[in-house]
Amino acid sequence: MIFTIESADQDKYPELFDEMFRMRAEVFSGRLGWNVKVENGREIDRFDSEDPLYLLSLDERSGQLRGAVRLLATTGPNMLRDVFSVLMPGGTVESPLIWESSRFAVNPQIFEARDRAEANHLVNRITVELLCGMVEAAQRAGIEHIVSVFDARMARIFRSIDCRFEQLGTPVRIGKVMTYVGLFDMSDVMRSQLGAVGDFRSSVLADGAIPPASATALVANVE
Amino acid sequence: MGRLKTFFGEAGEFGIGSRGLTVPVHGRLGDRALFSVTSDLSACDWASAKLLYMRDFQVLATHIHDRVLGIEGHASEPVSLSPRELECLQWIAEGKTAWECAVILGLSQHTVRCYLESARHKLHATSNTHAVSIAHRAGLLFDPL
Repeated sequence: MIFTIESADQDKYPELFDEMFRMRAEVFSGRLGWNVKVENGREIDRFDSEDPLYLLSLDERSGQLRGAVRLLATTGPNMLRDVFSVLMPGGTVESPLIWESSRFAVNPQIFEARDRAEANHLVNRITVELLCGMVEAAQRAGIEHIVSVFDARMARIFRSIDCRFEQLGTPVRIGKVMTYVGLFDMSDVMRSQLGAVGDFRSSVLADGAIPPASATALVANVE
Repeated sequence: MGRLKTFFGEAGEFGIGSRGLTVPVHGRLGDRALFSVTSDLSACDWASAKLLYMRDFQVLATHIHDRVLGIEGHASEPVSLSPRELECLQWIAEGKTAWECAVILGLSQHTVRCYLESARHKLHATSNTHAVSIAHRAGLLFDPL
């Protein structure tokens, strides 16, 4: 299930945000070796204070964080415009109907103990669920396009799950990483294609409350 | 609790509707605004109206925010369209459809729509025709081929 949380609600879910920032540190600094700033085991950058919308994939029963992505309006500060402008040297796209997604991550803890095939399957499934959530959240907000900066590894994942994107500009090697700008169509066609791949026919967005963080919390609630 | 009730009571007296939503606005320099829409439609009608008009609310919110900044004396930066945005607009000015632009420029139709959307926003235009007219007056387009 995908939960949409505004950064203004950070105080309501401090543990969840903390878990997301720790997961981002583990993924982007630990596993991918990106040049991101990690403090106290948490990866937080200046765009986290630009009031983004976060989509979190949470396990319905245990409440465990399975993955997350961050959405920013392209009318305001965003990574493509302010960090990766070299990818679109003539100027980046900007409109209230275009959002930018960044920090797309799947929690390594959920596939660590599994064999390779099963781990790949899980990563793909959570990726598709997050993408379905992005299309649904965008459609609810009247958003028509999402742009994103990502690396060759992510481009491969998008292709393997048949998630169509169009390349804007030309890919550029930044450090060790080949970097792309992709444009995603937030249309019904996109949603049904993704739904068919991951078997997410009905809405993945949760309308209810966030599930409790752990089994013990669940017991405590019942008592 | 009492204050909240008073607040909504007063809101009603001033004609604020019983349903509504608020759109956050993110400005270029990190400036923020909130744009609220309220209505007295039934729950069911409001749900469908919301879906239908959400896109317009987003555009309107940004537009009003830009206007308010202008009135307060914050000069907006001169418009600069990217080469791709200009190319798409140039072909629209030549009477081509988005599909034709896509074929001519070797892009997908969706990408062309995105560039045109971005161009309309940057030019403060309400439609492609409006955008062409503004771009033409600003001397951004070539002379007709």
